[in-house]
Amino acid sequence: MEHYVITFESTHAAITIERALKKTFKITILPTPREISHGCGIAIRFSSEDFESIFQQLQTSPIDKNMFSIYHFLNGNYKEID
Amino acid sequence: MNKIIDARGKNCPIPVIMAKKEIDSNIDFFTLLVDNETAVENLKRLANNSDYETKIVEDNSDFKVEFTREASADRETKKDSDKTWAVFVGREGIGDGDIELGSSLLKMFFYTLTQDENIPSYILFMNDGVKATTNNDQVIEQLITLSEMGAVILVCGTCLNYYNITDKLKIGTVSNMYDIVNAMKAVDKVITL
Repeated sequence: MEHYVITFESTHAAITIERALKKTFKITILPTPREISHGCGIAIRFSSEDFESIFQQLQTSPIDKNMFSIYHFLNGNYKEID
Repeated sequence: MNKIIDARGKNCPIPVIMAKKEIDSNIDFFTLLVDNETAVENLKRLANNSDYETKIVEDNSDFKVEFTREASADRETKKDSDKTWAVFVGREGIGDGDIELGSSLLKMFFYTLTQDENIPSYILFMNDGVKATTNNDQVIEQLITLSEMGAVILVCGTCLNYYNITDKLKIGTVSNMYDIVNAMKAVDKVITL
């Protein structure tokens, strides 16, 4: 099923973003998928319908953009979004 | 053909070591000759732990210990995936330390359980752990999935009552120490988070 996953450079970044996003969005905390070796162990999954809003919020978050990556899961593969 | 090994006159551990060597070679039958009852008892214990049956034949002051490997059906050990297990949650998150991190780890733990068919037979919540069944939305959602997959979720009623959150329970059966202890005894292993 199509969805998005955010991975993080640090656990603190993951927890900070989780705290911010869970107020507004339906998110799922999961271990960073094995297919994405990159990043710390905690990842956040969300559905496609929230992509625009979450993407906007991440741009303005206090967490530096280098601290996380967003992946689009489609047809069984994760593709990183630039 | 029955292999006969003479272990008479050998000191305490030697007959057992000689028998162990035969067992390790996967032989179906063999006989050890020993000259004292202590050796016989040690060999019986070894046989018992190695899935062999023994027959003892007294021969004057000596003993013949006949080893026969048990039928393969009896020997078949459970595969890891066949073993039953239970998870015990005694805290609001996994482990000691920061509660926010522990809570995220608990979410990830139950998420991971839902990704595989080998789920625990029981998920047991006690003390601070019961709070996860009342306020951790993601954990609750995954517990619902696990419950649909067949896991039995037991939540300590005494604990819900103590924290005054009985009416906030979102998933699981309000349970007691008898049921929780019985669940622990019924499975091959209990994992405490």
